[in-house]
Amino acid sequence: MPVPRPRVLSDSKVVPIVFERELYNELVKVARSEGVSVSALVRMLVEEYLATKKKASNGSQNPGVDPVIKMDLEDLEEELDKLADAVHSIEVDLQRYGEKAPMLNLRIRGAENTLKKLRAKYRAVRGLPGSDRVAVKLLEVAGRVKQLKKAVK
Amino acid sequence: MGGGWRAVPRPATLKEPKNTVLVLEKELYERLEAEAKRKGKSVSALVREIVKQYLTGDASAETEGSK
Repeated sequence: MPVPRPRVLSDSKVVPIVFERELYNELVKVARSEGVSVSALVRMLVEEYLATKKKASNGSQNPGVDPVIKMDLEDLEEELDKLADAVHSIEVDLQRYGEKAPMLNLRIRGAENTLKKLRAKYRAVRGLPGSDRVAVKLLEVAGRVKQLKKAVK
Repeated sequence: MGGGWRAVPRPATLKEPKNTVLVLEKELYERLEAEAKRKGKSVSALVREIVKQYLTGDASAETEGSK
């Protein structure tokens, strides 16, 4: 007797989505190159997006002010440390498994996107006391992400 | 000729639409729905925006209007 495939998610909801065909094709391409389903990729993006939103709204004291401006240097430094850890884990995987490391391109692309967001946040706090330390960290992580991109190309 | 009101289909939001379904955890869906409501958008529009942001790497890719 055929046995149904085990569920990936325990408590799930099927959501109909309409994409522009071009956007959808691009999404499928990225998902395929990473060996994940489109659903799994979008789930990851949505989770990341909501986590970023939550953090930004926690950092804002006044809802009328841009949360990015209100985010203090400590938060930015913390996020940079997290990114540095993520980059380190990609470097380790790349060394261990070469270009066959799991979800390599996706993780590098994610690191690049996070770096871009952190750069924008840095611009908002540039010039504040202590921002030099953050700038150095930012440059260091950016260099490592660049190296990773070069290594994969 | 009645000259009455004639139904006209709603104009398409997207030029070349591709319908698909996503499977999300209920808890994640609820958070997404709440965020969409807060922004005055449909869940579909918000997902499109998130995907666009990711693919273009542009955090300001919030191009679609409200529902």
